[in-house]
Amino acid sequence: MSAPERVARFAGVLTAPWSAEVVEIAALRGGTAVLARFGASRGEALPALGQVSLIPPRLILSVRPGRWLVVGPAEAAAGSPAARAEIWRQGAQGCAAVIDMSSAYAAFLLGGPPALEILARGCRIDLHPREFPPGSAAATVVAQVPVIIAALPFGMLLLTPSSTARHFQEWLEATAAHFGPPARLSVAELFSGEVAIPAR
Amino acid sequence: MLRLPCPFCGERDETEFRFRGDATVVRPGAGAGLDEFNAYVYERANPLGWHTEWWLHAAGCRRLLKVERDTLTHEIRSVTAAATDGGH
Ligand SMILES: [Zn+2]
Repeated sequence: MSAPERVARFAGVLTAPWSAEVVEIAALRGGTAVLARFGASRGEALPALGQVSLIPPRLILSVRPGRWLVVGPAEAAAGSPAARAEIWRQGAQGCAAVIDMSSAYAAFLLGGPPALEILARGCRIDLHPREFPPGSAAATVVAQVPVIIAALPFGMLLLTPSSTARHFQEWLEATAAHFGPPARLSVAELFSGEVAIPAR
Repeated sequence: MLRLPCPFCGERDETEFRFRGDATVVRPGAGAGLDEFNAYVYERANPLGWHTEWWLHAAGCRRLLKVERDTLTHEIRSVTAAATDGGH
């Protein structure tokens, strides 16, 4: 069964625990312009604060002023996250601190019609597409733990510190259970772009 | 429940922030005496009305904010970033 068919049949939630690579780029004083030029030259434009840009198979988001997180699937063939961090470190020409944060965050993807209602049970910010359309990103608290939320065309990316990841996953699964059995898709299927999960 | 309008994140619940105390306290010069340093570290006014305070947006942008708040009515008059140059 194709990925779109699986989503079409899907009555409940979709959670895909994601072994993601995360690289943080923190501009030092006055370094933002250099970083923006370097990002643009690589075809990876840095989004504005509170925004996420999808550059398959990676995405870049900003929830802190002058800081960006580059999130992508772990790809052994494409070099380690440390190597990817090194590319940005050199491109930044001393204007940014670039750190491999892959061990610091756990990533989840949540989609499907009940996604917003599930998050609303633990999150105090308004995630309705009217207030938080695809392309938005925010750092907040969900289920009493820090979570970075990014709205993507196919659902929500959720990043939580590794130390709270197990609690957060249990909370997601317990809350989602009210909406029926989850359908699980791989991140590759989601990023393939053929899966369009209808917004609520 | 306070709602604080963070200049970076928008309006958020008080639970996302950490109160960091009086923002009007000024460190005395290195030559100031023990009494002056004791007052700087331990003595605080407890005003009824407008007060300038530090709040850290711990669960959001993690920036330190300077907030003018009425301690009686909880009205918030202004919220600004402590650092204006994008420094960390
Ligand atoms: Zn903030």
